[in-house]
Amino acid sequence: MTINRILIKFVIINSTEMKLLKLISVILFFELYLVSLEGYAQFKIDVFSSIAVNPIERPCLITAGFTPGYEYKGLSLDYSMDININHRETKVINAFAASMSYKFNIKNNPLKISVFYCNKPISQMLQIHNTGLKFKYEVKKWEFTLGNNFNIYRFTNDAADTYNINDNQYLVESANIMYSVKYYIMQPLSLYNFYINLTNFELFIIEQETNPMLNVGFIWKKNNNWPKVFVDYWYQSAGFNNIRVNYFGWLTRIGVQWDIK
Amino acid sequence: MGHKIRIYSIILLSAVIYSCDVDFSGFIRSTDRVEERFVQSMAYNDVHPVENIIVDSSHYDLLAAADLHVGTTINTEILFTYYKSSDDIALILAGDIVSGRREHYELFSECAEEVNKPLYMITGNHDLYFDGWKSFYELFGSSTYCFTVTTTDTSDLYICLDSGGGTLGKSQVEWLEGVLAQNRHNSRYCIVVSHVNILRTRRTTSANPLVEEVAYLLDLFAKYDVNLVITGHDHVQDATKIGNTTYLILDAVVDSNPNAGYIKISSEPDTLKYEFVRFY
Repeated sequence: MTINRILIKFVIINSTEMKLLKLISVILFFELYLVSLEGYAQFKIDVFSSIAVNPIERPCLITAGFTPGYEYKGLSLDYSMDININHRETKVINAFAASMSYKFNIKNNPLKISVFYCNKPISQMLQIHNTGLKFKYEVKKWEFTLGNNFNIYRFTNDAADTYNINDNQYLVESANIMYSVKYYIMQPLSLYNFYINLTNFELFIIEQETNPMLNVGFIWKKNNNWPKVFVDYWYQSAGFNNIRVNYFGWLTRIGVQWDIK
Repeated sequence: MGHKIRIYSIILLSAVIYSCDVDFSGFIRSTDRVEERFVQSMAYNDVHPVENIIVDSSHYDLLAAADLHVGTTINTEILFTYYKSSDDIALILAGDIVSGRREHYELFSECAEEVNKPLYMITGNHDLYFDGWKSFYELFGSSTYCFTVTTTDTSDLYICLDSGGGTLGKSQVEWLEGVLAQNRHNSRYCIVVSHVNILRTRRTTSANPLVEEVAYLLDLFAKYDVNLVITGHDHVQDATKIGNTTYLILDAVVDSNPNAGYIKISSEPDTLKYEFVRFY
């Protein structure tokens, strides 16, 4: 655990915005390399827009984003960028995430192991860095995901200068369990499907393990050559493990996914 | 035989659930909502303005404690006895004062009446069990308010928040922003009191505010140079500093806690100090 924390501090805490841009550049370069293997690699891209309503994002937060990704012999690379449509005076980028995964079969069912990193600016002062590892196992209509992440709150260097924050510029929270239990109504290869999911994370937000979210969604494609349309809805409640649930907010994402072969 | 075991198990489970001081219906629904409680608290504040404190020196001491979970009152009486005999100007109780049951509210109220010194209280999640907000409101009033302590030189701002539902809610967040914007620049120190611990520096089964709210509060407290955030909920003391704000979690006062205690805050002209004190 201690070694993990030291590694996290080394990798994440020292990252500045410039380092983040370098990381994005490296990923883009790697993707270009994969393009050169187009005979073998599969390219996909999600384009989506989200609306979040909660006590913090008033009256709401509207974003637009995309997630390009490659898969090559079971190895896949995805990165996601979400841009604010409103509230741009406090932050332009809502979040950036990158993940690398390896997929293989266990008893004819796919298991996907992913390492990921997510950066979410809260304001011009504060950012959340998140890194972790997760395992996704699919069995017929079920998808089970289990993982672990570290949440790091970090004041920007500008904020540290402005507010005389000399020490304690960042905080690494305790390791957090990520989980998701997802059930599809229809068989996996159906042209449309509904699902229900109990989880504590989505693409850019990882809640504490004690704050589960209810996620329901719908996917549809006209035929197998067409892009997939998806609608996702997350209901967020607070205080579940305090046995005092209160409504917190919701998030909806609508988008299109192309699998380009 | 199997049928009888099932019946006995159901009876036993029902007895356990009924006898313990946890309202399991709160997993599914809450009889009150943070927005409703906030509206009621503001209405109460309008009619019964919160008592500000004036001291005739440049420094003062004040106590804070949390998680009394009254049902039994051994540690609560130790706390009150110490407070009555000390020079501390006020005692802040940061939530989970009772189990939520009406009889426990009444028991605590009897103990509190004997104190005859300023007591500031907010709700925790347990105070809201068994429709407990009605009792809290009837006996103690508001759970969202601010007060000042004015010394010979300056004044300090104390902001008390209702986080018993695990979130502050939209209206309370807006109120908090307004209070900080209006009053922070007039105050020497700013201390925020809330029940649910904001940071998660160790593994725990209790729920914090959601990540969006935690990040927002860290940002807001840094922006307004909040000095101290006092919380309970997690029952085990902790002090974590991020930015220029120190986030405290207090030891629970509950009788079953061998490390029960409180915190003493010393406001001095140049520094704001805190000290964890244990009863045993």
